[in-house]
Amino acid sequence: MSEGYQGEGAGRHEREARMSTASFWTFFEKYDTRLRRYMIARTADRVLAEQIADETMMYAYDKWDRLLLMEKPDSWLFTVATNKLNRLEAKYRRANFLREDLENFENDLQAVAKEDSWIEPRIDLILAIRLLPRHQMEVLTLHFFADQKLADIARAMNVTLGTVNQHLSRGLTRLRRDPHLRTAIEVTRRIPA
Amino acid sequence: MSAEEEDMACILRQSAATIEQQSETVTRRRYAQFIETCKARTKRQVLNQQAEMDTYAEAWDKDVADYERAVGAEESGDLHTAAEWYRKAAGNDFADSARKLAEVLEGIARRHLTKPGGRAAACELQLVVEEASKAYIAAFMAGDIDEDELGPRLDQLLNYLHPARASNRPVLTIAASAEPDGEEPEPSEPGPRPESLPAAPAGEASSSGQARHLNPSHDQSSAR
Repeated sequence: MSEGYQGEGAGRHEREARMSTASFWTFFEKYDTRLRRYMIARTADRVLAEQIADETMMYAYDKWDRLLLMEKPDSWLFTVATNKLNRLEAKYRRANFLREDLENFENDLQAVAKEDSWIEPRIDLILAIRLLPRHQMEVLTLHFFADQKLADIARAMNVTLGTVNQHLSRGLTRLRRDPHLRTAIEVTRRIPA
Repeated sequence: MSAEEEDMACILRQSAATIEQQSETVTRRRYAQFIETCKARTKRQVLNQQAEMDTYAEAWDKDVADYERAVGAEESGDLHTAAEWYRKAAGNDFADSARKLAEVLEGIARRHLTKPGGRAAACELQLVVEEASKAYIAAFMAGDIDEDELGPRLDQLLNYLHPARASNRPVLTIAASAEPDGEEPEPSEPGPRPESLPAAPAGEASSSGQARHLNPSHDQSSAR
């Protein structure tokens, strides 16, 4: 984040800094909550999810001048957070440090739901998402929760668009067959298009 | 998108429609805390944090480079080098490198069939098959291959190890859902076999009971 210079031209730089701060607030307001909830849907450990969301937002704050020049700063934000999460999870998985079992998923989500009213009615859905194979979960959460286009997801995952479509299709089919989501599906069917 | 997938996509879209919603008071309080934390950092802390985040970006670039080296080696027919680079990328769960590693190792196992065998060659083949099996399972866990593909692929690997097995053993398949106790599972179609090995005789389609534990979603859904 740029700070105002003292001396010659300080007025212009201060103005730019103020504008930059104002635009960062708009970015923060739009993406902070979305990023945190996306991360919670993605990982079995809410502490890790929140820590990565905070660190990524801070990284965006530090690099804000550069992000302003990007066409899709939100894409950058979700890609950076996802890369860090994937790498840490792979490391923890190798060390048998990551608990990816149903009991842990449920306990973790119950704890988050107490603090976030958005999670509470969606515990079954998020639980089903967390139980998906990793790459299917990544595509589904990036597409629906992080609002990323499939082509951008393909680029971020370094796979073809066809592979992303396959993960999306398999993930949706697997979720659709989850017995705990049947009620939600029935309710959705009754809502007119 | 099929009607089944569209139902699910609709539920996800409905949930995502409110994902940004948060009271303005909470957002403003979080922002104030966030800015305070950012400004309270020393210059050294800022640089350390940036360096740490940069390492993740660099690590991703390195994975891309490893993966591309692997693809290049595979295209030039150097399967051992390809396996080495895919192995590095697969260690970080990068793209579909676990599946690619398994396929390259399977290619190495296939080459063994055409070589004169000795004890050392047999040991090497065993190690290659073991690693390929693990890589296929890792690819399955990541969702790069589904349960219909995993069984035949593992079965094919075992055939490299015991060629005689191909003619008198059923094909391993993974059941998509549990059968009620006491009922025989439906016979399934045999999977693909190596060109050099004969297909299983008709009527020897597999039983899937032994392989069912390989399906994590089955275990998880039944546990629920």
